[in-house]
Amino acid sequence: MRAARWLLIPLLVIPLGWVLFMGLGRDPAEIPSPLIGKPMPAFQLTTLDGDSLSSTDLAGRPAVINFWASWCIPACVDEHPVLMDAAARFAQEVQLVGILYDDTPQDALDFLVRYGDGGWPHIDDASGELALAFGVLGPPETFFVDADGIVRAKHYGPLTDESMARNLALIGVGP
Amino acid sequence: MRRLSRSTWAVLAVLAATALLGVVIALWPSPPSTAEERARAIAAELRCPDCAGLSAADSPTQAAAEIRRQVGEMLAAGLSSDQIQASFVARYGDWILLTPPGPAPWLIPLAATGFGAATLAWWLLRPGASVDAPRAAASPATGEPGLPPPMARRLAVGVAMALAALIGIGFLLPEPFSLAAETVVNQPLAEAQAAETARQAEIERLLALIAAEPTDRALLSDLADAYLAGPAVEDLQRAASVLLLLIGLDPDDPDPYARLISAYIRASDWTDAAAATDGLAEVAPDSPDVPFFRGLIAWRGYGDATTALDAFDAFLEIAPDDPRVPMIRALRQQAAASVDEVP
Repeated sequence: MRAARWLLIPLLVIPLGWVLFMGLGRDPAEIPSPLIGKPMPAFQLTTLDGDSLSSTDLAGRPAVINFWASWCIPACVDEHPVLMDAAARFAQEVQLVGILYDDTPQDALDFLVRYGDGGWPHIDDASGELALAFGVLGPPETFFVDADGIVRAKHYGPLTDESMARNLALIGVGP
Repeated sequence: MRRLSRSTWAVLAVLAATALLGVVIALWPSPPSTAEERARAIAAELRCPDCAGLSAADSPTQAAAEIRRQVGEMLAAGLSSDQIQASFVARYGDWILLTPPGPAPWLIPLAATGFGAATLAWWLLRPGASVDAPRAAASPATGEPGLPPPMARRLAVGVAMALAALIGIGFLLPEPFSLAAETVVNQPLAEAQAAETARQAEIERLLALIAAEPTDRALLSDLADAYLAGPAVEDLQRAASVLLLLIGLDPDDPDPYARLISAYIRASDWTDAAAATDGLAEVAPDSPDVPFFRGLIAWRGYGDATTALDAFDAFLEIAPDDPRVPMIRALRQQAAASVDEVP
């Protein structure tokens, strides 16, 4: 009878310990996006240069949709050279699009003057409607969309050369 | 089966009453009546995407404001609250819901409580724990130390009753200490609301003074500033009316013009902004504000790079030490780049 009582302890501790241990391996920033495998949300907005850009303009070519803000420091500053490098190397294969997250066009332009303008279009999502449609939690966040307009990957936080190359490969861009 | 003692019955009665009270409080129906309240209730169940642990109803961020706007829009379009929730889950996943879906998350604590209660009941009611068979008699044989069972049982009863009484008293305490009190978790929002209340009070005060003194330009100028500090387009329109009144009172004073033009620009009313700049140019032809606003309106309002470049250059020449020079330099670079692209 007393032995049975001692058996009770591992019976409780082992499953509980297992549940907690499984939690250790998970990255709290990794919130799976329901958009993956689905078409990217449609939009038609004006870029900082005054041109019109819509989701249908992006069809037929893989796209990298980067949500950023001039106040997002240091993360957006850190990933800026990675985006510049990808824009320069894969200029023919992929279309980069920047979307301002809770930012003013003036501050965004100042950022580009300071850290370099890679020439890809930036959209002022003034109401935050587009960020909400993409399920953005906060900048920087980057969506990788294939030539058919299907979202293939989402990256949270600043991009590195490795994560950029890995995600570009998912949408058929790379050496 | 052995009869339970009166104290055990008392504990069970208190526990049952507390549980019943909890269920009644939790399920007490309070249906939201107006559309605004319904929108708030739905937003309160959605997580604010870019802040920690706040609902979209309680957060001041842009994303939360957009969620509130979309919820209001969908409600007006006749969608049910379930359909509205589903549209957000489609973008963010279940993560966006502050109340997890399905019964599983609620069953775990319930099951744990039930398991604990069953263990406690088994421990209190097990054969060896009877009042008539004191543990002391068995102790020497098993070598187990411990309190005699009646003492242990009284202790458990005492602790349970004290807990129940504390919870009950906690709900009866006055507002700041009561368990039923709502905690202010969003200090920035509370501060923003306080500032807005103060602004409205200032407007009321100035309007009362102006009613007695309708041509006092200092009062009108303060009123325009109070309106300009507001968040809505209506505030900008009211500010513009007051500033136009000021200009009417003294057409030669250039002072209200800059604020009037800024108000029009903030409201994206480029036509009126351009007209007001022409007015300023007549009153104060040498002011650096004239090329500053001309350039800003041409570039930001109409995308006219050539006109903007001329105006920016004129501004940089007239006012090389103006604090707005870095901003104009950046805008000038943008305008110049767009001219280069289209040769």
